[in-house]
Amino acid sequence: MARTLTSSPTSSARRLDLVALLGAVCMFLSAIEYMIPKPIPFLRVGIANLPILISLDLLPVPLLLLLVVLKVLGQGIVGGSLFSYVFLFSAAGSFSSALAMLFVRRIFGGRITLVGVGVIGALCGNAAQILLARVLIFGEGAWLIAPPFLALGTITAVLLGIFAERFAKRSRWLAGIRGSL
Amino acid sequence: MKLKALDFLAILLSLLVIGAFSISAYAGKDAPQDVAIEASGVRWIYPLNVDRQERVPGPLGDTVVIIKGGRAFVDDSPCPDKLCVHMPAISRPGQWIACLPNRVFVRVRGGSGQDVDELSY
Repeated sequence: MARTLTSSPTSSARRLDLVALLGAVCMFLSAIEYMIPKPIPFLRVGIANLPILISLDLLPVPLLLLLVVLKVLGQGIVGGSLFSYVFLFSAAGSFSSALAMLFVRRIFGGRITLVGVGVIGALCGNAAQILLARVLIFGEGAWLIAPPFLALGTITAVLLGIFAERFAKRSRWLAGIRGSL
Repeated sequence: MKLKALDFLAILLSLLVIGAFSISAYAGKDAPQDVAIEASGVRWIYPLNVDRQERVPGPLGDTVVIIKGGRAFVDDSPCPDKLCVHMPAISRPGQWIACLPNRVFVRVRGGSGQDVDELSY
């Protein structure tokens, strides 16, 4: 996939379409995430991060950030937290996690799989949320929540990473998209 | 699918961070214990071995925290999901109960002077 200054308008239009589609998938996955029973508070599977994980290699940085904005908005709408302080946590977590994943992927490329990328993303996203909790709500008590919160995040990130890696390798739909961009 | 060295490094890094947080958060369990309740930017501290009932104000109303027989638990809270009420009673340092909607955080501390190091990050 050659990305040059002369890339045709149809190609950039296709990319924008892809962002819209993936944003919708994020919103759908947020709804699924919301349905999953949570026996432990703070447990999240984070399946809404799948489209972001997959599009790390697909989209240029500005469009990827646009996708993160769509994801955060979608989550806020589905979870009903759009106008509450919870939304702040969601946004901070999503952005720091996406930026960390982007950073790791751009630096290491094929030397790291989506499992490692996802784990780093989860670590950064969750750490950002803990810092925010430390500042906004719980004071130093936030540190006590940190270990189980980070541990659960690591486990779900590994599982999601395995799924994303397999999906990225095998999906014919994704292969088609790659060819058309 | 085969994991690469950097994947294991990422997981290792994650485990190290979790370990560091655990050590800094749960260290120091010998000192006399007390219960710290944080809400609305205020922290109340009560000894764990004296029975009492406290009403803690939050944005949604009062959360009722009961300390009884060396254990602390949330008896009632005006939050919608009541997760904090369903959480088991806490008695050991490092254990905690949180009511996110009402912004109340209850935890058992390993006594004064054994607090979490605020400068650890």
